[in-house]
Amino acid sequence: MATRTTQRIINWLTPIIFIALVLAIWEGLVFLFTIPQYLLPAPTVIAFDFIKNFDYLIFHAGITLWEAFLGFIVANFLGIVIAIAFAHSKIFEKGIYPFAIALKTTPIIALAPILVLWFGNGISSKVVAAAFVSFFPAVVNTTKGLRSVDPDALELFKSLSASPWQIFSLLRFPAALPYIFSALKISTSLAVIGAIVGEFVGSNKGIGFVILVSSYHLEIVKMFSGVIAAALIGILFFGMISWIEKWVIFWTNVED
Amino acid sequence: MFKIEHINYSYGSLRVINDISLDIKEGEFVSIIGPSGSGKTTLLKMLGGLLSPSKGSIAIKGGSLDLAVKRRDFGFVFQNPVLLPWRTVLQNIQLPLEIIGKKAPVNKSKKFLEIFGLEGFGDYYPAALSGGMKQRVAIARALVFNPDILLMDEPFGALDELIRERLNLELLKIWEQTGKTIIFITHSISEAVFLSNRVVVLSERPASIVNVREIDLPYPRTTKIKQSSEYFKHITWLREQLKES
Repeated sequence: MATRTTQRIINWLTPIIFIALVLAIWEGLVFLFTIPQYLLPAPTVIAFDFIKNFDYLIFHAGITLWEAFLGFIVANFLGIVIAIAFAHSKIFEKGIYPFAIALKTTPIIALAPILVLWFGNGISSKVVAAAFVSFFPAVVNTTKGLRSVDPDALELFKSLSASPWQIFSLLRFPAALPYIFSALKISTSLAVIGAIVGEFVGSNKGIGFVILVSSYHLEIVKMFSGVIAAALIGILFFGMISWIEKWVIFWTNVED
Repeated sequence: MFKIEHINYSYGSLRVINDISLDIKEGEFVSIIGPSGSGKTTLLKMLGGLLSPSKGSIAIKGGSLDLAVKRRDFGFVFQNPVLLPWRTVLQNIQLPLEIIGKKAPVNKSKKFLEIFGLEGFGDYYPAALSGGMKQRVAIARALVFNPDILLMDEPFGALDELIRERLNLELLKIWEQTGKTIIFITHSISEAVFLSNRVVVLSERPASIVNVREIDLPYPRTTKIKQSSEYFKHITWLREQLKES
């Protein structure tokens, strides 16, 4: 046991030490070469700014997280519903799949101005942008998951003369959950990107707005604070979903 | 119970089953042996109504297989236990009841755990069980809704010899107590002889029946009969048949 806990400590400590090392080198280089602040501020300067503007950053980050979250919910709900239809109808899949691919390959940055035009400067255009980018993984992974069912298990259900609904609810859906959650985790970061892109194009709130405005004003330190806040949103969102996943899909951790 | 008449089965152009006819009586323990890949599993799936013969017919209790499936006449046990990992042992055993829409009294399910040596493991998840225990859960699940016929596809093939022997004895006990019809696929000649009333030898693909052997060893059987000369005679004879196939 002792070796296992020390191993765990090492696993935690290693990345922390590396991050600290990188930050120290960054700080050292900025100091050594007297790099001007408008090009690259030192980590300590950013940290002070981040703490000083904490409330302001939290407010805008919260808005972005909310937009990303709503888009995430809409996209994954639709994605899962469509995937269920795919899994039960090949024709439906053949008809819809090209649209899904087309959606996926259209860059969100190209589409964002249209979304803002349609849905306005407020939160809804960002929600749509976030939903737009996080939709595809849900469709693909859920479809894959629903089809991943063990053929023997399917035969077991058939031998018991199970109804299609029973096969779905007792077998296919739970079997697809690990796939669905991997899509959800991918979606978290995509949804944040979608929301920020939407904010870049037209908004007066959110972390994308903060970054954009500070770039207009050449407030580089504040820009960096914004970027860090944006990264923290993504990490928080991902962490939340991973935590839920651990509770929902308890069986894959122990599976042999 | 079963009346199998001249059945054939093909996967596309691949002929798997070639003109098999066989009668199986109610309460009989019949084993089917044959070279691996010969189509034993296909035959079993046809008997359980999961596949329809390309030619020929299978009647059960004078009626159709579809009817028998609807009646839930068949309990399947596969080579893999096929347990749902998100359900506990007890929930896995009760799965058929849930599908059928029958709620078993809790003490009956508890009794099932006891019979299969799983008491205390009811709330465990399958991942925490050994291979032998998982297969026990699978057998308990096949029996829980009291089907007339048990169809078993090499259920103990993946287990080590000692556990296999113990589960063989347990299966015999259950069979003697319940009088169910059991159709049992194995590639172990000795297992087939030890368990069955009759052993059916299949040929290489496309599988047809090479021969059928009555095993006239008296029940209840114990591991002692494995030392009897009768037992060896059956094994030797069946081995010869398999070689010729």
